[in-house]
Amino acid sequence: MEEEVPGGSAEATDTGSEASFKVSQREIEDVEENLKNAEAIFEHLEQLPFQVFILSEFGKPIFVNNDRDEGEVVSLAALICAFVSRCQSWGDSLMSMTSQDNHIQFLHKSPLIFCVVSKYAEQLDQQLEVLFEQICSILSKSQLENVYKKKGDNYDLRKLLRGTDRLIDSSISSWRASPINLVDSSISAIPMNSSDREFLSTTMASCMGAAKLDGALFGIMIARRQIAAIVRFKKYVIHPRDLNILINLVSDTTLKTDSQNWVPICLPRFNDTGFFYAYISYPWCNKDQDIPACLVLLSVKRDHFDGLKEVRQQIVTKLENNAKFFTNFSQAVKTPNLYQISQIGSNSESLWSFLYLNHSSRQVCMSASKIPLITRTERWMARCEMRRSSALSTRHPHLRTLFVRGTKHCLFVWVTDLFSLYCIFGPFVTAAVSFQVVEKLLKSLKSHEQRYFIINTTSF
Amino acid sequence: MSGTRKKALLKVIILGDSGVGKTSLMNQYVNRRFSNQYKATIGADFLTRDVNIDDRTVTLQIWDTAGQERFQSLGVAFYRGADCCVLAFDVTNAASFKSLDSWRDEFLIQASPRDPDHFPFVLLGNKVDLESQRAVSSKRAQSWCQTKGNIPYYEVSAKEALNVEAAFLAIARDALARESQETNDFPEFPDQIRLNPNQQNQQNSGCNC
Amino acid sequence: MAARNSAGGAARPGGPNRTCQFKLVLLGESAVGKSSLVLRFVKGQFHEYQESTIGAAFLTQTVCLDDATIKFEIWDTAGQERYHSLAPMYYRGAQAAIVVYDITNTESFIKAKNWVKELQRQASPNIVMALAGNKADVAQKRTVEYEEANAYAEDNALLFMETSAKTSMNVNDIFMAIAKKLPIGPAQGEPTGTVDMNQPQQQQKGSCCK
Repeated sequence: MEEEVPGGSAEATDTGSEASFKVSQREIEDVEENLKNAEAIFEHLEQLPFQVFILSEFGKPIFVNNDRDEGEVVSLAALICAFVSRCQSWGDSLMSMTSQDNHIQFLHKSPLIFCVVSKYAEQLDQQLEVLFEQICSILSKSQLENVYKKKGDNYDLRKLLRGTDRLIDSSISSWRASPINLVDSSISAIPMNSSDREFLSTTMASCMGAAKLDGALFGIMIARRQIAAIVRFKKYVIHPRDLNILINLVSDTTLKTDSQNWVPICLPRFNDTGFFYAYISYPWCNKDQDIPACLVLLSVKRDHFDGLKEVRQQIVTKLENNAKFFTNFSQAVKTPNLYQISQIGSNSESLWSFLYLNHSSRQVCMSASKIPLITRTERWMARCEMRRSSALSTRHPHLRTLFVRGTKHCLFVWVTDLFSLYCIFGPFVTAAVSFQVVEKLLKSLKSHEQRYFIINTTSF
Repeated sequence: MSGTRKKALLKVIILGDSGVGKTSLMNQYVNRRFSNQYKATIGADFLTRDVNIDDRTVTLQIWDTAGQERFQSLGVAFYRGADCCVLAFDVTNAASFKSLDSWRDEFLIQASPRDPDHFPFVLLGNKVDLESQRAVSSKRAQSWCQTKGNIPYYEVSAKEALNVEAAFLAIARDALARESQETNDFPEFPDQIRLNPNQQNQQNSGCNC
Repeated sequence: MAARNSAGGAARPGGPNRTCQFKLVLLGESAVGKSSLVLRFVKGQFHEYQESTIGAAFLTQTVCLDDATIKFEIWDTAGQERYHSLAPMYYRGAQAAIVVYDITNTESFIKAKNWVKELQRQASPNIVMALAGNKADVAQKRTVEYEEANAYAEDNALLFMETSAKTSMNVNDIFMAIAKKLPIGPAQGEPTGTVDMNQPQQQQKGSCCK
């Protein structure tokens, strides 16, 4: 049975979208040989769909995505710095440049400059903000600022970022590959029976509560870049951006799945001056079982490892002891059961794909792949369309509904104060019909909301 | 393995009056010429050169500045973060030699390095192939260098870029030596997050999940 | 809580099949092969392109000696600079440490010596220390001579072996050598102390045995 995750996936280990996106990137890179000449390098870069640069605000390159070496783009980094500082000398700040099909976005967050060159214009500014927060999550904002003050303007930040290339790269690919770049400020839930999710949440909460670890604030079960459950101490909340930073950390095999991990991580939206300590384990990733779920327990105290280790043990034992839950849970995690459009009922055949975002909970629900949007290219097209729609609705905030008829498919966008909905319909649909289908969709989603969304959070 | 050491990157600024021949010198020297067309508009050309010291490669990011008045307002961003500053003058042009003081001072003001007395400068005296027109003697240049903290001096010409290479090798070697002398001064991990009860339930910062 | 509290306190005199738990920490510059050594020791595996460790990884492995079973609680720390100031969190209260360097990288050896100094100053005075010169399988590229490292180890009372996580040379041996040096049984006849991970200031009183 084909694995299904948001956007579709063919391989079991594939987290879906970003892999397909990475494929197209690599294909172009294969053409590259020993590029020594600067012009050749730039010509090559021009062919790529996007390129991200991080440099110090005085021009030293720090990071370039796609496994490139910063040394290759040294003069380009200087140029970026010169552009940004030129504008600054006018008392202005450089935001973006557009040339033919290239969109270049700049972000100056002292002591760093971020720049992305992209063939796609959507929400590049947000993407750079997310990248900045990713860097902050590694160093904390205060350490980032202080290190230049302490060590001098010529400090090479790569020393402090050593070993994180992969982490930063995967952060970039994940937001690039997400169907809508809203996803960086939203999360999605693993579809589960509400009783299962409740059991999971109450188990996690009770174990964390019983441990009485003063400073342990959150417990999160993550699988396939989706959330199974979150529990929190009292009323502390964790921002979706911070959650996505955590998701990025625990996904994509950056961490060792066969050991327990104790990782300092700054969650900038919560507190950008200090670190959480994340106990991260994959209790069922071993030779006997292959359930790709990850348990993350967060504390502000660095000596809580042993306490959290105990908590994890208790959680795992209790979950495993409930055979029915555990079977359902394994199933839900291994082969996520995304929302099938056929669930809407009759006359839903014309709806090919949708993405629904709830504004208050910042949770996203995306439909399972459905013919004719099955192959990678087709799904990629669907993602692009949704991206463009969301960019459109961001640029025109008063836009409430949009129906676009095309020769190959139709687009339906509906934005309210409470939600945003992006749909792709077949080409023979009318606006009236699509509206009817959408109304049925919303009713259906509502009646199944416990399955596709995390409605209640459990506190301890 | 990820995490292996990367090449050292050094930012090198070239300062000096326009007309001293910086550009043709640099063009001889660099292996990756980005472009010569930015100087007139932005105020600098950006060049790259890799040098090898023992088993290490150092990439030099060379900011070949325009040397004209109107670009001096860009000083701060251009000059700050530099690992080294190369001053250039034309040995056949005494005025260009006299400007050196103000170039050096300007640089130190704009860049504000942490240790201005020991900031690495290098002096290049260009156009030594025009010996008959020489207006500044080697001795005079060297004594200036000595008064400024023993700045190394290299005489160069576009026809023979060898000494240019020696100058940059010296820069790279010096920078690497400084790096290894750096005290083992590791960043302190920030103190524990102090939890603020008011942080709970902030509507705009969290999802209700 | 996970305090390693030995039930009853005093160790049983003599007798085989005692199980003792020891905390062991690996320190060393980034990319010298700490994770590879641990992976080889714990799982018997080796990956050519091992990813950088983020934070620290915790694993356990048990070895059997003639008179006891030793369970190692291993902290595989990340070697990058940004984590340096967290190191005390791992070596405080550790009974054993392996400082790892790469025999083809002189700087990693210098760094290793700094680690040894730091441990001598800050870690438990009874900590059993070993120096591992890893990547012995590429000895043709070596820049640190065996004799030099060996002499240094002798001067500082460290166990020393050149290892190769890739070929598994000396990997088990170095852990075994550490195990044999660890104190099994109470120190100076005192009842075995508890080691509470949440109070790192507490004096390390030797091993615990069940």
